[in-house]
Amino acid sequence: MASNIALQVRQNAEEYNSFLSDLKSWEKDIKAKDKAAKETPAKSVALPPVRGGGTLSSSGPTPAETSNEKESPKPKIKAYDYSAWDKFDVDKALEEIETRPASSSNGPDASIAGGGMAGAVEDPAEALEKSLIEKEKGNAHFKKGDYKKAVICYTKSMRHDPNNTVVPVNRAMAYLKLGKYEEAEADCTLGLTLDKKNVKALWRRGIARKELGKLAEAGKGAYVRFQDHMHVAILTEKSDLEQASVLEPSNKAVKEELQKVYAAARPKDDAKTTTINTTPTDSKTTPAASKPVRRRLNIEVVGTPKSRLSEIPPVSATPTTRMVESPSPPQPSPSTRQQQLTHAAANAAKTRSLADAKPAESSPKPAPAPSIAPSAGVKKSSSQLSISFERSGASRPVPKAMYEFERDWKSMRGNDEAIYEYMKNIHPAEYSRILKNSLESHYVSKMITILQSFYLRDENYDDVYEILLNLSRVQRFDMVIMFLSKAEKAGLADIIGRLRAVDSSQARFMMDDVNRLSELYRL
Amino acid sequence: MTLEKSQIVTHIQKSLTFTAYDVKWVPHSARFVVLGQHSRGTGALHVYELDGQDVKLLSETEKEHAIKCGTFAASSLHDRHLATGDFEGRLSVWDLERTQTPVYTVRAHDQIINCIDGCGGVGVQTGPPEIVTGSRDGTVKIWDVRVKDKPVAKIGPAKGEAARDTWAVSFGNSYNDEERWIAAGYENGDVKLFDLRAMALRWETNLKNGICAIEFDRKDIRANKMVVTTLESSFHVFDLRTQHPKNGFASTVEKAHDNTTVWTVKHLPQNRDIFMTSGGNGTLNLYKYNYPSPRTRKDADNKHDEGVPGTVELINNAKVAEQPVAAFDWNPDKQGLCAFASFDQSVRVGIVTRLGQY
Repeated sequence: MASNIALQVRQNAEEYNSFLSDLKSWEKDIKAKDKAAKETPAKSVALPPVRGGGTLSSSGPTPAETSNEKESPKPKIKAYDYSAWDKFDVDKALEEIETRPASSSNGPDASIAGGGMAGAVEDPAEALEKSLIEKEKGNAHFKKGDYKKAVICYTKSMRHDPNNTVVPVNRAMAYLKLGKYEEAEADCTLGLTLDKKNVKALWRRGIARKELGKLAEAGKGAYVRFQDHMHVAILTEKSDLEQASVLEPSNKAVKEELQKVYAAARPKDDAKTTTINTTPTDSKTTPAASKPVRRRLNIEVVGTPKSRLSEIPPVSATPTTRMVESPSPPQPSPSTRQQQLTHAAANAAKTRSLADAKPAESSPKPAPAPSIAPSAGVKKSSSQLSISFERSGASRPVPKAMYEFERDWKSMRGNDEAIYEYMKNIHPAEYSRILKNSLESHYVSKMITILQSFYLRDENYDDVYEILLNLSRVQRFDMVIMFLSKAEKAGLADIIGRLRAVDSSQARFMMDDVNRLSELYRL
Repeated sequence: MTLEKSQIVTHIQKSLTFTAYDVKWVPHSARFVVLGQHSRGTGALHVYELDGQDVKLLSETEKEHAIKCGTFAASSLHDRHLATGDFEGRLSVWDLERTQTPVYTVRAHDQIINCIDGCGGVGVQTGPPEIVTGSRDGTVKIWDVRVKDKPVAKIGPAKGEAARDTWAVSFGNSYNDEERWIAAGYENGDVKLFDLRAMALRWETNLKNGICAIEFDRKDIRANKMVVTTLESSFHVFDLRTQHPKNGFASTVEKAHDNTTVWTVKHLPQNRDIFMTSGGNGTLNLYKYNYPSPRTRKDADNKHDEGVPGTVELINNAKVAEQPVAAFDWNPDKQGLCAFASFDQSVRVGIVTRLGQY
């Protein structure tokens, strides 16, 4: 017995010691892992959506009463049930059928994606690089006014990377300048297959079509389906310019162009050449003929695209694969809205990252496309789909969400230099995504100070412009601006004055842009 | 026989300058946090790291209000944010690298948050990351840090009903993105199971004794079993596989810890049938649950299935402190490594040997 206990004690001690030595190596291991985990950058993970919410009494109903509540599929109407068939809305049913396949076939054809790659197989990264180089060259030629050379460069660029939306749209602009409207139209169409919501492409195609005399098509009385609020954003049958104006209601250039088209199209409508209306000739008096105008008003009154996008509920639980700045071809099929939006955002990001790749446009140019992306991003953020703009050399990581921004901002209170460094790390286009609906006047006021005392000191005029522009797109901006103090207004006026003084050939913005900015800020 | 028994050994003891209410291992690390109350009533958040034969203090933060409970379970492995509930009813989420300001904070309840649990974070890859808090105000609220200022769901007493102090909450049955249950225990001995998908009370019972702790054996599997500990020296193990329409879930009850409170229960992360309870007499009890065979049978009327209670076997116990052990946590990565805090103002790192044999 005694020997048994002794044995047990010895064995236990042995067990304990072996555990300790094991523990020691584990400790070393886990510490290394721990350290690595701390240093690896955050991966954005598609999380399931936030719970719908609800209240429940802790003595609530038991499932016996609540179960079996599953939604039953729509009952089939029996053949002999004539009264039910009378009520059956054929149009609606057809629409339902139509929209279903449309959503799955929105992706670009493989033929477009693969068409440019003639023969030689290239390393994708290398191809992308070449494509960008050609694009830069094209932009340079464009700026100089050498549109023919620009077209050649853009063509080469497209061959290297057929999936870039920006290049065909740029080439379209060059074609427009050359007066080759058909080519321009084709390029815009190509751009639009890659990115359905590219405002520039829509706008330019509208111009091309107008020039081509396809007035009926360019200003065609839109057949708008307000199927339900959720899908208002997808206005499939809209003519280009209207769609562009829906995407960017603030864009005056598009609006002006649209007005011109309407002005030109109306007499034709009266003459009843090409209208889809089935109304009689006496158009002035019949309500149908005046429909285009009224419909247009509808579009603009119902709400800005932002509010429409906001109505799109987070697509439930499906964790979509996201393409962030990836050169791979857009997924051909189940292109859900999310994917489209992210794709648009990715494209926008590309446009941004190559900031001066934008060809200088004649006439007031449309506001840069990214405005679509952030507003979409805001809505999607409920499921934390985010695009991270990583920049190296950041002392503080770029905030991914409002809480991080808020925390960092608080922790830097009184240290303007740090805030400047911090702001430099944030891509201006990110503000509306980060700030969402939490823009506060003290942020704006601080930012004004920073812009004034640091950005202007370092003559970062482009950044100043970008920041001001993007701030104006953040939700609640109008509200915040109303409550700025006199001193802050003066600061803003000073900044805008400095921007005005900048030689526009040196900067990425024009005089008109600055004027618009000053309007936005109510100066 | 005795030779193969697991041994519970106190490996390191560390004295604290405050009263510890909760201790939690930081996932994927050799660090753990200790939460509690300083004698002046302020909150303490200390982070320690295992360092050979000692633990070293990595950081200490003092907060305005005493901190009652915390969890990492709703945070991703990358973030490892700690969610805490304090005496003023505030829920805060902390980045341990910067504990000055919380990354998320909300006045969650009017009174003290007694208990907290998380789901959808580390280890549990299904469902949204959510935090549940239970408070003296009688409500249980579910939070998603993506939603500011308001809970995503709230479970409270019906109008006119007395609010019962909520002492324990736990997530379970989160085996896919939709399904999720919450078990809540109240001071009057009520145990309630809420189905969050259906937003309905699924089951309730009364154990005639305040409920100190509840834990499902796993959060991320179809509900299997749960352990409920009570104020007066016993705990119940419920088989959650089979719910009888009238009799509910089958359970087995076990006396423990010499007529003192069973403060907490924690299942071994590597084996869901082994769990540790901590008692008011300063002991730790290690148990194994043995499933009956078969687990279900027909009821007396031969109409419905009902569960068959299993048996609980005490593997070993050890007296580790003079005061109640209020908090216990297994290290999720190293089998057998644990940390526990007792009211004698100290935190201890313990080792349980031979757990692999079961």
